[in-house]
Amino acid sequence: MKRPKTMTHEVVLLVALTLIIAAASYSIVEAIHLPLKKAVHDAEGVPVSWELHLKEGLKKYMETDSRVVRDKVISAAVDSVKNRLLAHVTDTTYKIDVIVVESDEINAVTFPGGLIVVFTPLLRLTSSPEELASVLAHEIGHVEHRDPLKQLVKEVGVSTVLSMVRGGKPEPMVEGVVKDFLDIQYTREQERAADQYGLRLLAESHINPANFGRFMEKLEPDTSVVGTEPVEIEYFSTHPNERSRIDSAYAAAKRFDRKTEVPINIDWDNIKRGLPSVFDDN
Amino acid sequence: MDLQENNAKGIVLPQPQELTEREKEDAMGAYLMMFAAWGAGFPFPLIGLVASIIYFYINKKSSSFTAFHSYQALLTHIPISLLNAAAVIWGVILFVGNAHHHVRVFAAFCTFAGIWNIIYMASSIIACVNARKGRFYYFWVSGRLSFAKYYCAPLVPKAVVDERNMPPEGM
Repeated sequence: MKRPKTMTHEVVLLVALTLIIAAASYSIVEAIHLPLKKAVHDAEGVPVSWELHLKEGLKKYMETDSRVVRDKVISAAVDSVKNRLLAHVTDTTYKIDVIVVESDEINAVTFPGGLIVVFTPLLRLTSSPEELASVLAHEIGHVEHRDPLKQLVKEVGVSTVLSMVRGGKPEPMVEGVVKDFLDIQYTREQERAADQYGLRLLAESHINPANFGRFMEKLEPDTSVVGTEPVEIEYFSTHPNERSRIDSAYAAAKRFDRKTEVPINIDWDNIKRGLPSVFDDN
Repeated sequence: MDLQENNAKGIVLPQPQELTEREKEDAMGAYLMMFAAWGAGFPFPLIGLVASIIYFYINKKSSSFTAFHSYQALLTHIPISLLNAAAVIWGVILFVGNAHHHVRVFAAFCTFAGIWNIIYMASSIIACVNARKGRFYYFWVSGRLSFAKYYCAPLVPKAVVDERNMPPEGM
C-alpha cells in the first residue's frame, strides 16, 4: 500500500478505517447472535403437532419418575390454579400440564409443548395460590411464545428435535433434554415477554399482578429459605431477577382494578403441609 | 520524506548512527510506558492515561527524537484510553443500572474497541522496535502532528516576527 502523502489523506484513511472496523464489529456481534436467530427461525418452522408429540414423550418419561408428587389433593389444588388461568388463555394450541416434582431446588421448568414442572420447594415458597398462579402465568407465557422449543433447537439443533419426535428410542435423549432444561436460561427479551404475558393473564384471570412481584421479591439473594441447609435458588439463576421486573409487576398491579379481584379459595397452608418433606424417604 | 527533501525544506533529521543509546532507549521507553499504562489502567483507562501524560512531560525536554516518539505515543494512547474508558463506563452503567437495552450495540462497541486495541498494540510494537533502532516511525495523523511539533518549528520565534519594523501598508 502506498503511504499517504498528506495529513488530509491520512485523516480520510483513518475515518475510513474506523468505519470499516465499526461495520466489522457489528457484523461479528451479529454473526455470534446468528445461531439464536436461526434457532428461532428453525423453531418457528417446527409444527406444533411435533412439539406436542415431544411433550408426550417427556411427560411419559417424567411420570415414571418416583419423585413426581401424586397426592390427589395437591394435584387438584394445582390444577385448580392452572384452570383459573387457562380459562382466560384463548386461541391456544397447547394443552398445559403442570406436574409437581420433589426436589431440593426452588425452580419451575417449562418444557416444549406446554409441560410445566413445579418443584416442591418453589411451591413451599409461595404464600398463596395466587402466587403460584403468578409463576404459572409467567411459564404459560413461555409456552405460548414457544420459548422452550426455541431454546431446545438452539441447544441440540432442529434435526435432533426431529429425530426425537419421530421416535426410535428417544429415552436417553429425553433424559438429556430434561437435564438440559434444568439449567436453561432464556434471553432477557424472552423473560420480559413472558412477564408481560403473565401479568396480563393474571389481570384477566382476576388475580392481582402484585402477587408476581411479591413472589419475585422472595427470590432476591438475601432471602433465607426454610430448611436446615441453604437451598440453592435455581429459579433465580435461570430467571434473571431484576428489580425492574418486580417494578413492572407492581406497575401492573396499580393498573389492575382491585374490585375485579377474585381470590382462589384453597386452604394453601394445608396444601403446603401435605407436600412431601425433603427428609422423607422416596 | 527523504533526507534530500528534508534538507530542501530546512529540516534536518537525526540519523540512527548519530543518536545516542540513551535517546534510543528513552524513545523506545515511551511506547513501553504506554503499554504499561495501558495494561495497568485497563480497568480504569483514564488513570493509565494520567501515567502516560506524566511520562511525556518527563521526556518532552530531552532530545527531539525522544520527544517526538513520546508525543506520538501519547497522542496515540489518548483515543485508545477514551475508547476503553467509554466501554468501561458503559459496561458499569449496564451492570449497575440493570439496563438491558442496546446490549448488542454495547457488545459491538466492545468489539470495536478491542480491534482498535489490537491495532494499537501491534503498531506500538513496530514503533517501539523502530525507535530502539534509532528510526522514525510515523503513525497516521499523530505521526505528522508529532513531527510538526518537534521538527517543523518556525526558525524565527513568533514574538520576534511581531516585533519587526514594517513599512506603511501599500508601500
